Amino acid sequence: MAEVTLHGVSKAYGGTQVIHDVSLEVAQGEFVVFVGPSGCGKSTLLRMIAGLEEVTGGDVLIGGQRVNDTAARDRGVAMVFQNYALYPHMSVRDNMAFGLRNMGTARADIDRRIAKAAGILQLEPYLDRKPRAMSGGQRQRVAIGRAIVREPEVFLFDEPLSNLDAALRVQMRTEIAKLHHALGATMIYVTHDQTEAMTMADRIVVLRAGRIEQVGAPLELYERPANLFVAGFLGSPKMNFLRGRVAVAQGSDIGIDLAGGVRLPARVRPGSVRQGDEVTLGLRPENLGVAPDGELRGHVDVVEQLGSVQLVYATVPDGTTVVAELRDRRAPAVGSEVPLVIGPGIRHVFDADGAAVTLPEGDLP
Amino acid sequence: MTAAARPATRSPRGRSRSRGWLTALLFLAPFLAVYLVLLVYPLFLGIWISFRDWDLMAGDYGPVGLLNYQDLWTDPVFWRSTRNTLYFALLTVPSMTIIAMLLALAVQGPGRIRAICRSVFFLSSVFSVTVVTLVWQMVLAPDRGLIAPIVQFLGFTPVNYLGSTTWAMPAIVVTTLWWGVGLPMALFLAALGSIPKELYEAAELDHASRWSVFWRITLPSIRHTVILVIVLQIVAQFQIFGQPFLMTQGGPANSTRSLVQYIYETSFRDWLVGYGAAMAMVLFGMMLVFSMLQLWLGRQGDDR
Repeated sequence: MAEVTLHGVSKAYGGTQVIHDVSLEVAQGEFVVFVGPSGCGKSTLLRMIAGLEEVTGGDVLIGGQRVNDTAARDRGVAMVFQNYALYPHMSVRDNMAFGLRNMGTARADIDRRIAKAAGILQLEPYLDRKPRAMSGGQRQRVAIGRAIVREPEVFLFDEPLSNLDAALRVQMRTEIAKLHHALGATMIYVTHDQTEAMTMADRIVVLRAGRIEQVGAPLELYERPANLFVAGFLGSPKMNFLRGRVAVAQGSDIGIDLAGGVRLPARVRPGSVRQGDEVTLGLRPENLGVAPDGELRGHVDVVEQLGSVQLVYATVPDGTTVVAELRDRRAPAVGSEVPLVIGPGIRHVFDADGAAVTLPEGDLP
Repeated sequence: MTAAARPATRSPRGRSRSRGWLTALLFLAPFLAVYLVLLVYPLFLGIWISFRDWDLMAGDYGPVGLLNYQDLWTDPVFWRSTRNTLYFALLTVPSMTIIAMLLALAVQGPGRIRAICRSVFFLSSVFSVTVVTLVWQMVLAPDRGLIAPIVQFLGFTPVNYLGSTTWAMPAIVVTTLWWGVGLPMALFLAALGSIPKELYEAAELDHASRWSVFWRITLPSIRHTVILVIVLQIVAQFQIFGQPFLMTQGGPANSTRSLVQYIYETSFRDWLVGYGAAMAMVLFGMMLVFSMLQLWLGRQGDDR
């Protein structure tokens, strides 16, 4: 186990900068998830920690040691690849033993570690199989097993579940989380799936275009997104954004005028916006409902029935589509005009540059 | 999908099947015609001729049973040519495979210099056998050749390689390697390129040495290409003809006369087509056996 520290890390391919000055501390035993859309540099960043990509600026530290110029093999990291990267000509046992044999681990020790990993991952019946005779989920288990037996300082996962089907993904998600609890090892996990990030992480690192947008615990990011990007990226269905203008601003209390002549109160950091400023109001779908006294008028386009909840997609006067998550079973008819009511939850406010100006505390229920 | 499949299942089973066959045959017809006329027919014609006393000028004297094959048994030149052909194949096939693989390993990957090297190494395959043998005759010439000064510099007397019973065959082997290494190299390059790079990254994290990476990852991954190259080389090198025919005319003292050259001379210089055909059948049999053996060896361990 070791902590991982990034100090102003950057990466350029030729003249193209793909990672910009990233600084981050991952504590010992922490489960950190890098999340972001494809091309945001999350995999590159992980591969730089692994030593599979050269660091062109800044420092990478593992366990307090600067490892910029240390070969990948000597960094004490184990990596689980998206396409498993199992050695196709070796049995499951040999796949797991390969690294240990190369390091000169004693035979009895190798056998003990493989037996232990196989036990954790329920791989005992498959130890003598070749990878091609196994399903995707089993292969992914082997890939994880290969990492476990190494007993590394840091586990690195590069989108390990994206080749699995939805049901298996959910199952493996729980298993990896369990594994983290059992091993207590430092783990860095890359995914483009915000659900994986929300469910597994101790802390989430949201990346966009090679920059860190925000770092924090899942709920912290969900409830206090620092900007429009993070607000829109985390949460499913995504947050509703309504454009408006500040009509009145008194201290932390403001009134926002939306299209259709609706004025909504919200609370912001004092002085962060002025009267007349363009702002974006962010409302989570669960903070939007249908009720007779609703302030907003919406034209219902689609109703999605999910069983426990239903999602109502409606067009509001300024033309944007909003999603409301309803818990009761009485769905409004498609094509009807309904009043939309804003719940007691947080009304996120973003200034013209997209930065959150929502009052940090107070608005929480 | 089911909707699209329905009309087919509704029509009588037998009729739809025969229609399918007809369509398949129609598409195969152009290839089949060429294949039957230019490959299958000559093969069986060759077998048939090998059992007859057929003089190219005087015509067919009728069947002679196994007489042509009996004559082979006591023909010293046939045995000499067979031995030469086997010796040539033994020298060429393994070295060609290994050199092609080493070259491919050296020039694979990114980089301008590697790209240039790939083209250069492949380029020699473009030349015709006449050009290649001419070039190498000049290279090997004992007086003004390319090698002579090097040999002299090292303190030895230059040898007339193509005039030596010991060195003529190795010289032809070297010429053949230089000429033919391009295609197997290209095959190896394609195979190497298809190995996922994550395997190498995983091996790096697994502390694998370069040696261990080659033996445990690269070689198993390109095994099928290795087999393919060896079989192609066996088929190609057993038919060695142009290089010795142009460089040594089979000499000195029959030391480079190949089976194909002897078949050619028997059939088209001495006009004994029946006898030549019998030899061709023996060559065909040898190539078949060696190729099948190689394929069979290659399949071992595939299903485990």
